[in-house]
Amino acid sequence: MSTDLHEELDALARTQTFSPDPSTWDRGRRARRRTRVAAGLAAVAVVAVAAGAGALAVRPAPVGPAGDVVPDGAIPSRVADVPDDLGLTTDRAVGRASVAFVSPTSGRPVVIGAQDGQYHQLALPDAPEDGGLLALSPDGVQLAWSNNGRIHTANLEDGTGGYYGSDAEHASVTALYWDPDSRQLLWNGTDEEGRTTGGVLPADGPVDTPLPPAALKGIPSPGGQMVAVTSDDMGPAAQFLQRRGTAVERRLPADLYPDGAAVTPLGWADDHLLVAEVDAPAGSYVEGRHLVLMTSPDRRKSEWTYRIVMRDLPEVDSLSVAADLVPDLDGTSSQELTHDFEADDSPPAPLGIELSLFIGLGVAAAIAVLLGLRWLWRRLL
Amino acid sequence: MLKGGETVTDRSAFDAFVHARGPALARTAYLLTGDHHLAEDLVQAALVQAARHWERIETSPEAYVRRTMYHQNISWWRRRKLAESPLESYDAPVPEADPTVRLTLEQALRRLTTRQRTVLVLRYFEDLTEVQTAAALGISSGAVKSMSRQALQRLRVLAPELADLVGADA
Repeated sequence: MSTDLHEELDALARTQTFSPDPSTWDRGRRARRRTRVAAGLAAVAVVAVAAGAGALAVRPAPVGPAGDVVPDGAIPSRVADVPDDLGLTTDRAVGRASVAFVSPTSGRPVVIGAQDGQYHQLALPDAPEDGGLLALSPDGVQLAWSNNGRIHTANLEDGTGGYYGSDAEHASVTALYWDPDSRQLLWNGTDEEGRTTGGVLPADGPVDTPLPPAALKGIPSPGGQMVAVTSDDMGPAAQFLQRRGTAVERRLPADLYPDGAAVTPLGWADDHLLVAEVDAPAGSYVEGRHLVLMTSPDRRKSEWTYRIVMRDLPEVDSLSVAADLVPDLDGTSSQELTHDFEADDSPPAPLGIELSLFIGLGVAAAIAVLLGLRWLWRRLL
Repeated sequence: MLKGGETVTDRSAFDAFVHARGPALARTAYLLTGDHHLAEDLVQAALVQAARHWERIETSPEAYVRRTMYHQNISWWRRRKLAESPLESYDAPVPEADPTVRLTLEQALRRLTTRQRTVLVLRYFEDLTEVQTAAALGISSGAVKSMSRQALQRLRVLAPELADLVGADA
């Protein structure tokens, strides 16, 4: 059967003639080139969409250290006193903080969350009052406060704390600092007989690095080569001490402060970079209280830098800053050193377009690309 | 060297292939389509695809072209099927006045479904086995067997005088 059928089919098939079309090769090659172009365009479209999505995902925040909030947090771009109706937080484990101060409005300690910029008004036992001091450690984890001669510490991550009762040696405390490692508490004060005294409290376990002899006169640098000292009066320079107590100065920019300024050191961003609060009189280029970053005088003048970190500091008491949250300087004047947490609440606007409109346009573009590819596919096949 | 990296050798090889195998491909195309013009179009379309992918298929272009024709024919049939005759007319035997067996076979083939006709051509004209047919069409061997049986049965219904040709009990 199959042989007969094959023969009949063959005979039937032989009625078909064949005349080759000389343009077949060229048509096939043109189709090949069109396909390649379409594939290239599709690849470009995919790369463009991926790059756009990537740019949207990693777009730099409007303001922020190193372009964004670092995992450990950031110093806010603005600090304000707390409103009257801000509730009290009894749990001390509020997380790493960037800034601490005593509110003149409520008289209570306030810390600002390092990762979210949220304000926490703390209900601390034996809270600082009437000249009591508050000090946030450079890493933002430890908070210390004093009330008369009593010194307390609290770990803001786990809520644990320490207490050093008033004794004959520290009947009152007039200055309270953390060492650069955030492990020792340096204090100055007076003893029972009113004599000046000072000491070191190991607040967070044993200490590896010995402090320089002049450490208790200010805030020692991480390497211990310099100690930043508070200058109470308006002057042309910030005051420092060398390791053994020799006074050195670091001139302030005269164009910014023609009448001088008062400098209160707050911590060290690195071995030669001081974070300080500067209070400049009216008539200065930058007036009032502001936060600055300045090179210490043990560096050559050619390496000196002076950056305004935050302007218009509020009239709060015992302001302290987690200096470790200052990002490493990248050498550009445009580098943002703080983060605008308030801007985080606003929806992202890629390419200046409202997000919902951007998504709509993106979907429409994707559909157009797919339809275009489908059209090309049908044309070429 | 021509455009796009193609060479004169490629074109010559393609032309030689078309010249050598074109008539055979056209014959198969006619059996697949049942129409001389459609058969020409089918061969040309498959050859254009072959030219397009020549670098990849030049070692065995005929297998590629044949496979393209099988699938392209079914694809075209899907696009045309709305315009085809109603199915019930297929079940009526063709008039007995058909002059020759060849014409009767040609008419009967046209009344098979495209897939049935394709299976029949591959099995009884191309002399492929069920497994080879299944591989060429991308279907199972069981489906090939079933379609082949249905195609022969239909031929017997449509043209009883073909019983000798297709076998009484095939």
